[in-house]
Amino acid sequence: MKTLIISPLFPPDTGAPAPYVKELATRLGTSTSLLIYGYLPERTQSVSITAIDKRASLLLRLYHFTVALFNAQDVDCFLVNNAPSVELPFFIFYLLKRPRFVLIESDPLLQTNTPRGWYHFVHTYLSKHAKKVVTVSEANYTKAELLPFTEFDTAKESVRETWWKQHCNELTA
Amino acid sequence: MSTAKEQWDTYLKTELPKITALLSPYHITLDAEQPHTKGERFLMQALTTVGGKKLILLGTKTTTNERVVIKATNDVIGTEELTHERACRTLLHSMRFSYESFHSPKEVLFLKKSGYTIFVSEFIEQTSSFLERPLAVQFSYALRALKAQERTRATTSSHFKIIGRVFGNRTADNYLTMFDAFLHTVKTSTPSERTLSALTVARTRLQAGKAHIEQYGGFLTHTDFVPHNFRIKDDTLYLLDFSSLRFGNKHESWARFLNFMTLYNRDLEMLLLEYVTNNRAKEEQESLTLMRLFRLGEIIAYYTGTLAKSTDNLRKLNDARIVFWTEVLTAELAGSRVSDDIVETYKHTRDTLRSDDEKKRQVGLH
Repeated sequence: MKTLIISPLFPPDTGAPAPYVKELATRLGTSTSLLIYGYLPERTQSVSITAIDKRASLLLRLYHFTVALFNAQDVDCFLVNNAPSVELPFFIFYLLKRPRFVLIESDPLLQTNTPRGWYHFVHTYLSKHAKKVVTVSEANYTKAELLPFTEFDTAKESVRETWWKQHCNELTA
Repeated sequence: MSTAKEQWDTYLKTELPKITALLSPYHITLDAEQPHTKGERFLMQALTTVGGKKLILLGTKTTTNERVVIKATNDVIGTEELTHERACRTLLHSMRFSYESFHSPKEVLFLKKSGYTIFVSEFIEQTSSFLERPLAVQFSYALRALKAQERTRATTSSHFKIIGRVFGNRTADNYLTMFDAFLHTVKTSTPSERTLSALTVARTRLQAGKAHIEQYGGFLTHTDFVPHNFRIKDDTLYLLDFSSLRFGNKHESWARFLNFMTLYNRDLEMLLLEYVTNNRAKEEQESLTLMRLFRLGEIIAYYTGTLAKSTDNLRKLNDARIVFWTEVLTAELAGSRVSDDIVETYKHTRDTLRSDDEKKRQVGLH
């Protein structure tokens, strides 16, 4: 199944969901491509990346992102990471194309702040029409760092590995 | 005694009584002993930041018996620097796209009077200096502070508008232009073939890796991130010098810190390099190497610039510094680390040639 992951952040950007999206793309591999906001993103083996430069004006970058969605070819399922800058273009795209998509609530801010105004409407609409809505938290996906003076927690890593396997299955099922 | 040193001593003699008088109505007195005015302080002028003429003094607020640090200047560039530093502190604590805040010593007084700009902040007492702490503790603090800087990145046009006014933003082209200026400074003296060759090769590497420098741009970075610019109290790291904060390649601060540790704590340097190898993307490792080359070019240019102002043992020491940092640069270009022998030999030379005043200034500094 061909998937397109769309995300507001990607490394070298810091903060959620950048590291999550990079690892997800790596794990899903060749059947996946990425549409992200960013400039000179880190490379991910065998995954093609379309990056929309955020340094352009807000309207221009929203326009470019929307056009990039329409240009995406042969995608069976869109994996949409929530954020106003992603969901608004995807909302327009969805109204016209009705693609299959999974909404991933990966922005920790959404988990603490309820969306308001137009974003509330768009997010609620997409939540209702998504194949599924999946919530992920940094505690689930974050890889423990290899640090001196600290023993690597293999048990925790094993839990994380299991979570990732289940999560990838859930997204691609 | 060199002319530059004489000028500095005259400057101190004139300025200290005036600053004392200006602070008096605010119940702030200056210490009799001022370590940050001694030794090689007269030579110091930042190369890549504003770097005006200013005094860093220690004192006491007599009403509360609180120890304070006083930064004072009547120099145009120095005034710009202090005003800029204050603006940086204020903006940094209010930026919405900053995920992590920095702790800074509390402001006690900001005064503009009689042509002087004076900034007084609380003195952060620490139980021991950074380098006196156990290696594991040093590693933990260093990594936390470096990561804290990485958590702030300007990415959108509105971010760049906000930071552009105060911090500025260095692009890959800016780094290359600055490196050309370093190379020019070195070429105008009489550099050794080895120094010139190393710098020329470094310039080529920077040009070839321009995309990696740009890739990790837009981050908050402290251009002088070394132990004497932060202090630790109650498990909190306080940043002392906000004027050296810039937006640019995120490895500028890493590079400055690692190059410093080549000389002061090689174990810590190795641990941080291992950390990067084990936990960061390959492109990030390349960007860090490039910024280390950049910063080594900078330090060689800096000491080359001091040669004309130094005589006798200080001149010999600055010559030795250029030779030493050239060796570090050569090793870095070869993808290796400079040998312990070279570091230890240099340290011995440095300690032999340093003046007593400079030795005093260095006590507990790092």
